Amino acid sequence: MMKDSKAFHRRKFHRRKVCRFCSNPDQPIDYKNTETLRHYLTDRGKIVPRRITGNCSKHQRELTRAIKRARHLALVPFTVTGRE
Amino acid sequence: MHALVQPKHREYEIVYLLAPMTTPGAATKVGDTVREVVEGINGKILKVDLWGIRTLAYKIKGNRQGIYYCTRFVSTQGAVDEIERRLKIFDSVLRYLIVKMSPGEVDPAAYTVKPEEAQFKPIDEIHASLQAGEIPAAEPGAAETDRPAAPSPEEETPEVELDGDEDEGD
Repeated sequence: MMKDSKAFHRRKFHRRKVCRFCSNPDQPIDYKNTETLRHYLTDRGKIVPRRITGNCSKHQRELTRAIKRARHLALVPFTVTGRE
Repeated sequence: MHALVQPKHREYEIVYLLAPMTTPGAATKVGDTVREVVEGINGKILKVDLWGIRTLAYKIKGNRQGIYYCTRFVSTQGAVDEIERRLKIFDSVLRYLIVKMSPGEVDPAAYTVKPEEAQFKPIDEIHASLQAGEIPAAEPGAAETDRPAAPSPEEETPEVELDGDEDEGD
């Protein structure tokens, strides 16, 4: 019981994440704009999940498509291993 | 009598990547191929952009750099297939990507094209500086400069917030 209420308290102050692309519709998701895409890649080159970024599912799908297009054109990496 | 179905025109964008040692003549040939196919079906080249030489995120056919071209055009699906078929033949084209930009049908006549924008941009300057050694062609480690910046934790975290479910200690 005590544990439950503690967990509840922690959640209470949890800041709600908002989708950046919903809150700012002027920001386009474009496979050519690698600067924006890199915010959503880890330093290993993996796509950051929306659980972490707070993106809505629609924009996460668009973003994923853009990242995959950019990877095909070698604008962003598939993986970063730190060795050649 | 079966009426012929008119092919639909749509707006497309092609980005293609040339090997750094491509001669200006070969680059022009690739550009002319796209133009020839598009204009052959009454399509229009709207804009040709030369992004210049860039470091690739990974090696392609041993190349660490590439020359990027981006072209917007209005054409039909048939022309897109033909462009893809012809680009595959060129050895100098490392990668290409054709993306549909308009959801529905468009009228090519409705587009006004600025001739200077639609003109092909030659790569003479890039080729000359590569030849002169001003741009290091395949320097080891050059790829690192344009890596995904291996962002420092401070840079990457602004929009990344871990869920509060993790044990944060008591």
